[in-house]
Amino acid sequence: MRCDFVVVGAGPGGSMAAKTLAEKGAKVLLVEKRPEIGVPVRCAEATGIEGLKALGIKIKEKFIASRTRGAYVYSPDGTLVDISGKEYSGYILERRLFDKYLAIYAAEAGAEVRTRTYAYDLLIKDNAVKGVFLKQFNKRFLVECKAVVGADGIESKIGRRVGLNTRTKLSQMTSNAQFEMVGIDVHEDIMELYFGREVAPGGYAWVFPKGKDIANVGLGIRNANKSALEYLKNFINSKKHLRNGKISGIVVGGVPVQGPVEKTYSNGVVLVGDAARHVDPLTGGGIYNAMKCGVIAGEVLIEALEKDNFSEESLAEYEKRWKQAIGSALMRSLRVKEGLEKLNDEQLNQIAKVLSSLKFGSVDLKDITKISEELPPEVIEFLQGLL
Amino acid sequence: MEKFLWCILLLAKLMKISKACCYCGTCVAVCPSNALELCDCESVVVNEKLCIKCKACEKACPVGAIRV
Repeated sequence: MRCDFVVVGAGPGGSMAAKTLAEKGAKVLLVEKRPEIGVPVRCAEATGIEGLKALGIKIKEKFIASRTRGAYVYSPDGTLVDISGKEYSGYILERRLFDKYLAIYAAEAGAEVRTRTYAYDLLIKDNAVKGVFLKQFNKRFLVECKAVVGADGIESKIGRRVGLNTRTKLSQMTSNAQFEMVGIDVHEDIMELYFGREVAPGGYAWVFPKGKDIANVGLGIRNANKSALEYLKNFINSKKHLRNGKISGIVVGGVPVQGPVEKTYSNGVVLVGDAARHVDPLTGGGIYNAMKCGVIAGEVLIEALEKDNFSEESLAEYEKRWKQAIGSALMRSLRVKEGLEKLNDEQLNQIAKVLSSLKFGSVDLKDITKISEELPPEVIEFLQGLL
Repeated sequence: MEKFLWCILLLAKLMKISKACCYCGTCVAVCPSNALELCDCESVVVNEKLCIKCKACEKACPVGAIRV
């Protein structure tokens, strides 16, 4: 079999890349190692509305579990910071359907989709990618192609195969566990976030509502001595409104928070989404970033196809463009995350007290310095970094 | 008998991935020596020759399924 491009991984990044390529008339094969696209879910499923709108995706009610209008953020001592309002609206998705629909959109655009198909190696000749070795059921076969999109998640094999350093340091990898819980008392349109060393060291705990009494309850931790699952059980037991819920699903996974990998392209290969660590280091969110980079990868590869040049120099354009699109947002989040890391629980409480007394969104530097005269310099430095 | 004991010792030294594993790939992403690989959907393959016993995978595993 022969085609122009093979996209490895049918998550949001891979499907958007395949869709973009197919729309421009290229012959694309989208492969997914799981039998069914979107399952198992490895996500807390929250995303912003603006991003999806900007990408021009057909929004189906089926893949939206609920609409949110911001978050209640709780500091370690329980101080509430209200970050809600129209400008913070977002969706909690039903990822198992969302991912499937994105793959369907790619298929409708003309891409061939194959599930239960595992890319176990690349065919590399003269330092250029010539094809992908695939395995479906027990059959092994080679698909010849001109370039490969590696959208194969945090465990990215494609990146590693061509010598890109996709490894994440242990200290920069959050270990996450989440239960889908039913029969709990949640605000239908407000997300809850909990910070603190006791709750989730190096990360945070979340309650993302998916309906009246159903929510994704999870947390991410780093550099802790217990597993994420243990922390999650403790967290749920410590919260009155969650304690009596029933668990209807378990999701686990890692979220890299070190910022994007140094190099996201190579001869005939571009990396998209989690494989390139296109994850917001502060929130751990990556749906929009992966989709946006998938589109950019598609556009760059089409241009490369027109020039028939898939060399490293030609694909460097991909990195340039995604940096223009999401680079500064990622770097900003990285800075805030690094600032946050240096603060202890007591300082977080002080920050929460300051923020809770202000209307979020309309804060300026003067307000903060006025209120925070008694705060330690580290806290002030962090707050200034936020603005 | 001696051979048998050696086998047991050797097995005890090997890395263990328990059935708690959910194949999320977190261990693969943090392994500094590329000793781990997520194959197909449901197997984590360990290359014992490459493993440097740093325990990064053990610490990163969200469900505590790995013992090094």
